[in-house]
Amino acid sequence: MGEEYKIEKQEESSYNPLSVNLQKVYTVLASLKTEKIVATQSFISESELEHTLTECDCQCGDCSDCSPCTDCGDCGGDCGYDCHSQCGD
Amino acid sequence: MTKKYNFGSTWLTVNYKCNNRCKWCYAKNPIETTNFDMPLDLAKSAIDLIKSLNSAGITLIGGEPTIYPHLDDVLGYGKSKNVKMGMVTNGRRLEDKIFLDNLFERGLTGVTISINGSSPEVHDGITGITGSFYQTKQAIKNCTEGGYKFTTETTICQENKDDLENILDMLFEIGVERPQFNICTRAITEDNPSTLTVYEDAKLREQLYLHAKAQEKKVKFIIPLPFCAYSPEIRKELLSTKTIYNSCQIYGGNGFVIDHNGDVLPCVRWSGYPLGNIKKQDNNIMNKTEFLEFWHNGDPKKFREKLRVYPSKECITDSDYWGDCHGGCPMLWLKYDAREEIKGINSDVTQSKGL
Repeated sequence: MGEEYKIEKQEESSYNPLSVNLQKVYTVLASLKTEKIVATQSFISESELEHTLTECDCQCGDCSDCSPCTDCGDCGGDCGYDCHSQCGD
Repeated sequence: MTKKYNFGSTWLTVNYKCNNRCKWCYAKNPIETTNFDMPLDLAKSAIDLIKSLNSAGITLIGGEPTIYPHLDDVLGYGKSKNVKMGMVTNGRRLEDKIFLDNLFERGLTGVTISINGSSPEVHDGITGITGSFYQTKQAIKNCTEGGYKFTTETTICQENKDDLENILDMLFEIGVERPQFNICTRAITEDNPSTLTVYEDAKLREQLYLHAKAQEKKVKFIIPLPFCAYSPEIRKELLSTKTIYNSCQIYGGNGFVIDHNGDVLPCVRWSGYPLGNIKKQDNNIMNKTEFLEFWHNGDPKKFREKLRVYPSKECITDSDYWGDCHGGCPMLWLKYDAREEIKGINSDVTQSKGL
């Protein structure tokens, strides 16, 4: 809320591939049909980037195979288990 | 709350061979062109690395993991290292209860089975394999009866969009507690005619949620869509019940994929577009310190910094969700134009789209 923002130019030339590996990846990113709004405070913070899952205190075990779950979605759902359906943590 | 794991579930793509030919598959191209399996020594090295990184577990994926020749050995190795080993499969081989039992005995700890329809006409029409419906349905029954930890996943696509409630009813009847629904996205390299629009997907998700709710049951929708794609009156309920969520490991970097050749991918859909490889120039495998340096300070970090943006200026008109909605799966915007599709959270987009 209320964050400052800027719009990045979309041209592929605005990308400066940093390695041979990333050239193809950056080409894909550049081809996304978006306006690329960058919040001054990135919407995923650096602390989240060094994300650590945290242990659920309730120990309901409902999420045993993807626990401990912060409902961050980082499992992409593919772990297949219902996280914290009981504790609501 | 105490820190426990550094990564969520990590994917290991063990092959691109598959005994189905699903119309929605994002991996059509590698399935058609990649004819070799992950070598066993590489799989073991990958498990060692993932274990050292303190990941919550490993999910085997393909292709089709059940036709991977080293599956037993990989599961056994994971078990010996005390690593949770999940698997995403079309379930056809799990029709054989002895085969299924063996996998769990070897070290499998959970399985996700892809089901595409409630009848052979729909399911087999999508997989391209006559008889696959009965095999997959039996696999689900076997998991239920065997008491194994499992769930199902249905990819919503053009071919089954009118069958979704029937699928849900069938799965509830078998005993699946919370079926998952996915969306069909285009592949990086080519379009897929089976995809639906962002708003069609959202509308179908809402209908499924209400259908399950009427039976006091739950569903779960994986792969995020932008929040504004949902009707305002249902959106909050979907969020509060954790039927949808906002983000994906691709943004936060809390998960990754090791492809069949050691490539490190941000997501299973990025095969052929690696951020690096766990094999170093001398062909040895990165150790924990080297991987963490690579992941947190190398090319993957630069990739995430490029990716972590909102897709449309309309996003900033959202006072309630700004900062929470990340604009959905970025792959959506390879096909659809976010500047056209995202109308802001306060717009009734379903009406504006005439849905």
